[in-house]
Amino acid sequence: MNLAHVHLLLNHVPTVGFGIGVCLFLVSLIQKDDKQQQVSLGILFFVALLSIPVYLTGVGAAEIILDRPGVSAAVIHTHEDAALSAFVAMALTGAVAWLALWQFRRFSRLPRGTVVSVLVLAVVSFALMAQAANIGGVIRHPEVVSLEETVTTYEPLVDTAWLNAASVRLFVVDTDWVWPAFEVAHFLGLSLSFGVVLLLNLRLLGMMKSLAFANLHRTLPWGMLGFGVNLVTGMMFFIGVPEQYTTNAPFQWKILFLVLLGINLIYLTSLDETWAVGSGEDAPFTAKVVAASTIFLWVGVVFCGGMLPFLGNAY
Amino acid sequence: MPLALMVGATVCVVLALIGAAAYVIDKNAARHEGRAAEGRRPG
Amino acid sequence: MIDLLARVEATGLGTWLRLSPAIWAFPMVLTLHTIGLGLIVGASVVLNLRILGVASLIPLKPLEKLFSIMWLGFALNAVTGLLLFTKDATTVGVSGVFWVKMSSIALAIWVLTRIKTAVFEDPLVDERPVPNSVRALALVSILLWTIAITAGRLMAYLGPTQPEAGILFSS
Repeated sequence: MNLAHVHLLLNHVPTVGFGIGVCLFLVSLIQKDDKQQQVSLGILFFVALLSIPVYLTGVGAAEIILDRPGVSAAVIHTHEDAALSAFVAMALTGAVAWLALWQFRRFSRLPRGTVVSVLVLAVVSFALMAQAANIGGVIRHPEVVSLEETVTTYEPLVDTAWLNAASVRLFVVDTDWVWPAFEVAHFLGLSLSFGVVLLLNLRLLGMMKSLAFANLHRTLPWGMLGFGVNLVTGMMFFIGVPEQYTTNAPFQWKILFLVLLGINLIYLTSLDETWAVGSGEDAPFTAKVVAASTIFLWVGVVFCGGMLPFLGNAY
Repeated sequence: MPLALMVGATVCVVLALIGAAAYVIDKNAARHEGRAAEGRRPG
Repeated sequence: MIDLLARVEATGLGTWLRLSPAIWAFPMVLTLHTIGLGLIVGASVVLNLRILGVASLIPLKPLEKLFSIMWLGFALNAVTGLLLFTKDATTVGVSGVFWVKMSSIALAIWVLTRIKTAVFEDPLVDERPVPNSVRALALVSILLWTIAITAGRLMAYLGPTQPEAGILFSS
């Protein structure tokens, strides 16, 4: 089992997932079905979250097959650039989809602006991902290339080269201030999200019991903004020096923990169980389990991050 | 020390962006919540 | 002064941290330092944001418990910080960036105690709006922690502790 293998397992998730998510979202709008709408938003959020390991394993897969006969480096790079644009669009969609779930919980209906944003972003992301996926097929599946075409270069339908891995890499590595500045931002982001994580989950575990969870819920966007800063800076680090991360064991655990945290986040954002925990009330057992695991996973993320340069390439 | 300056400038920009984004979300939420949840118990 | 720093660095503790390849030595101490940072700055920022008016539905009084989290983080970082100091005492001890970090932390702690008094010893704290002087303290607190974190990270680039720089394999 190597990274190329994992990439093959995961790489249809973004396109298929968003295809399902968008269709369900549209249906929920037409039928004015709240439950369906929330489920579709949850799908869009979770698929967007999964696009992180899809992208990361893609770079790992490239490292594995780049020197093999019959594999075109140019096509891989075109695929990588297309995937980067698609990933950015998908991450944005995931963020807005989460915000929509948060708004839905608090206002009981979605503002029109949010609905339109989710729809537009989701469709654009789907299109960009589909293109990236198409190019990806050309790398190693000669059956999708007609006999006349050569497999050495590939002209994408939409030019995504304006945001390409190479220029990001130059920006991150060749300037002296970007890396330290982004590290500081990464620490600030982690502090912000950690604070919100502690506030909400310690309450569920019984601290500060006079607080109603629904009021603490209000601070979630701050936590997400902290995470957002870390996602952006983190991706910059990864694209800048991927070889430091792709086969780095603590890094892989960090990503796994983040994906698991996504599940907990949906639980804390949307479910009635936590929303209903009022002033002075004890949270249900499941909520306490989720709360404890959220704190544990979050500390785990910081721990793995700290150990990155040291436990490093254990495989 | 140009490095410290660039780092400081970046940090200020990041904080400003976070602050601005959160402010917009907050204001928007306050507006909608005024209409939605009425009798939520204080606490 | 340099002699004192040299003696600190030459202690068994400092030498162990500097030379031991074990994961539980320097890497663990540094990682715990980061976790402690998350605790104290995280809890502090949440309280400060609330004082500044975010999520004003949350009453202030119960948030006093956040101070236990902050002190836990501070204790963890004081211990790990001292250990990290002994490892590189001769270079860190004379580093301007390091002393900027220490000063901003000292000020940040002082501001936190002022906030604690102003907010949590006021019996009418949730009956009336937070005074502007207290809001100013909250803002200053956020800025001081930002400076502390920035100075801390810059230590790896502006001199004393190069091994903590993020890029390991850049050519």
